Amino acid sequence: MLDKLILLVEDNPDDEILTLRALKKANVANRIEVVRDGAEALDFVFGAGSYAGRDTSDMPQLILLDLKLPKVSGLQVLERIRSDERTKRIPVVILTSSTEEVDIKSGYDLHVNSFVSKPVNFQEFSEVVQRLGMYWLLVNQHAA
Amino acid sequence: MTRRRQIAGISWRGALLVLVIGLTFRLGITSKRDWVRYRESTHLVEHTYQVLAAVESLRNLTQDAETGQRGYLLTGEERYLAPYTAALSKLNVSQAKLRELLAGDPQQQARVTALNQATAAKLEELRQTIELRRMRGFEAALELVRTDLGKQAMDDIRRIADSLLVEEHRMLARRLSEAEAQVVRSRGWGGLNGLAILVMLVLATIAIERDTRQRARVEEALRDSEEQFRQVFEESPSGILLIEEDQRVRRANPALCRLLGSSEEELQHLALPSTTAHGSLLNLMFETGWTAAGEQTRFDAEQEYVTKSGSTAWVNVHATKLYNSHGRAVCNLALIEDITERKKSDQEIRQLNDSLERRVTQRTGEAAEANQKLESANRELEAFAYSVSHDLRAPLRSVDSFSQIILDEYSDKLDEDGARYLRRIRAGAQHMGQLISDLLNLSRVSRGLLTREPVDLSAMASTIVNELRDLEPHRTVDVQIAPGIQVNCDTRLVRVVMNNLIGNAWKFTGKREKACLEFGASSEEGAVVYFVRDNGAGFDMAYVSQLFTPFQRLHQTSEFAGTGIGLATVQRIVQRHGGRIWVDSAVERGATFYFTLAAESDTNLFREKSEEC
Repeated sequence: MLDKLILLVEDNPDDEILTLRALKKANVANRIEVVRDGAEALDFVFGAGSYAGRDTSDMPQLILLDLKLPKVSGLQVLERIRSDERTKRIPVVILTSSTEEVDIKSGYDLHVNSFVSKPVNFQEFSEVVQRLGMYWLLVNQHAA
Repeated sequence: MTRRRQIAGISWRGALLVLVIGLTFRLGITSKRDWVRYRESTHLVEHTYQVLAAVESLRNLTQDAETGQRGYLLTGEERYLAPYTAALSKLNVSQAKLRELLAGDPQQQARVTALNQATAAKLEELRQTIELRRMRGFEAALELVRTDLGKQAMDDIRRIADSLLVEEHRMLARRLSEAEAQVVRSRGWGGLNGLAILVMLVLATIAIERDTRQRARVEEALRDSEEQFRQVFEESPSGILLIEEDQRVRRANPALCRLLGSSEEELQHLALPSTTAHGSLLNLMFETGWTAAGEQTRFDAEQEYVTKSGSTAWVNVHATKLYNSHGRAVCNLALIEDITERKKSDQEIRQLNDSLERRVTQRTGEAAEANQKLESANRELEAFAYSVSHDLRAPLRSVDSFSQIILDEYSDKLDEDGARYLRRIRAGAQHMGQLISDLLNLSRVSRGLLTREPVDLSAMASTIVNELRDLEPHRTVDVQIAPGIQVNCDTRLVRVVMNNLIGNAWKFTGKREKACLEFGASSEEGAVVYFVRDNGAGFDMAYVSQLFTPFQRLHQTSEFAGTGIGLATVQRIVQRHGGRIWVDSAVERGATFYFTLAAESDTNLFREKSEEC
């Protein structure tokens, strides 16, 4: 359980701090790797670019994906992950500020495992992130 | 019908004529026969008189002979024998005459024979007595006379002659009476014939009289008809032209004369084709007349021509052949209508249409351009909304979250004021978050598709009320929801409407001890009207126009929380469904929001369709 890796794709440093804090408060003591845009996320997952030579057998057990990212958008990242045999079974949770239907629909079209809006209210936000971590890491028995 | 009666009339009159001729002929025959019979009767009478005369003559001659004998006997003088010898010489003639007259009648012939024998006996006695006187004297002769042979013979003669005469008279009388009867009969038939002829003459006169009257009537009708046609010809606003087979104008009506600027007489003396500049119309009519005289029997043409005054005009020429009652074409009729005005207005209409079409094309282009602009504006708005959704909320979350973290973890370093201000920062951030959410909602309800599906509004209302109760369990609100209200609408959007209206009712009854909230529907003029009623704070209807305007609030935020966007969103959703929303309220007397979810015409349309099914 401690070995399990969570990949957080988040370009907003405030949200990064808040997310990490919420996960910590929920006693999710996993390794958490943070990347700051879509290209970096893909590099990490597939061991390319600045992550060349990374042990790609160490795949994240959960990816928390923001949608509005620099360079490569969250949906494009999701699409790439879902289209690759190595990564397509990794649970991906979209964690975004957006409540736009088009985003939700596109996400589910690409088989996202969950779509979560980030509330403005900190308590609510913390609760959501904590529930996510618990659920996907503890409860959900994923295929890998 | 008329012809058949005419035929019947002819045969009736023919029969009458034949009858009259027959009767006249018969009358002639009868008259001729009567004449012949009259002649015959006359002849018979004459015959009888001849017989009577002959008998009388015979008897007279015999008496003459006797007279001569007696004179001689008494005197012995030869000169007294003169009547005797004269009679002797004539007797033969009379006898022959009588025999001849009565040759056809055997009975009378027998009497004639007897008469002749008696006459011969008398003559013999006379001759003997005369011989005795001459030879032996008076006494000897007297002796013979005294034998009465002579007297006896004379008596015989008288008797036979009488019987002969009686018979002849009897026959005469019989024949006369026969002739008379015949004449009477003939007169009767002749009278009948005459009467019949008279009757027929009367009938013929009546028939002739009637024919004459009928002819007079027909002639009058004909005159009327001719007068009517003359008036049509004279008064017709269209030109009328009759052209003979030889291409000469027979008649031209005043309208045509006006159109051509020529008198009828001028036209009648015109040799076609005309060489004048304005004669093109005449030439056209000449040609149409010619064509009509040829194979075609009808001709229609619209023609532009130069008038006498030099301007151009349009006419419609309709030419056709006219036939007499025997089916022979007698002349050509051309009807000429001045269509210059119509042509002019046609052209104007065409020009108007062209210009209209150009304008429509132009406007369509403009509209397409505007549409494009609108689309691009919409796209920009969408991008803007997307951006707001993502980017505006993140800083707010930072503000709220870090304020909270400071409150949680650094409370020992804050005094009471510091903590209060941080809470105010948080409240501001959360309010702004709510504003952003509401604004996004408002923009969202204007975009995207509207998909109608059957929705149970009663169930939806119950769910919303339950959610509200969960949020504020301490409140006691008397809620009444009419069951089974179904409507075809966009679930997601109508959920926003119901959320807002019921949420408002819940919110504005917050200060009521006995809060009441009601949801229901009623049917008004075929449209279903839904309503949400409360007994809350209400508002002054003077401000009702501000109610559905974004960011307009009728209550202070400190009194009732809110962003002022909810009802604007509600109105937009209702309008997108083709419905409308209105409100009835008074300060401190609650409010009732009414809304419909279908265009009223659509509702009617739907009902009509239902009736068809």
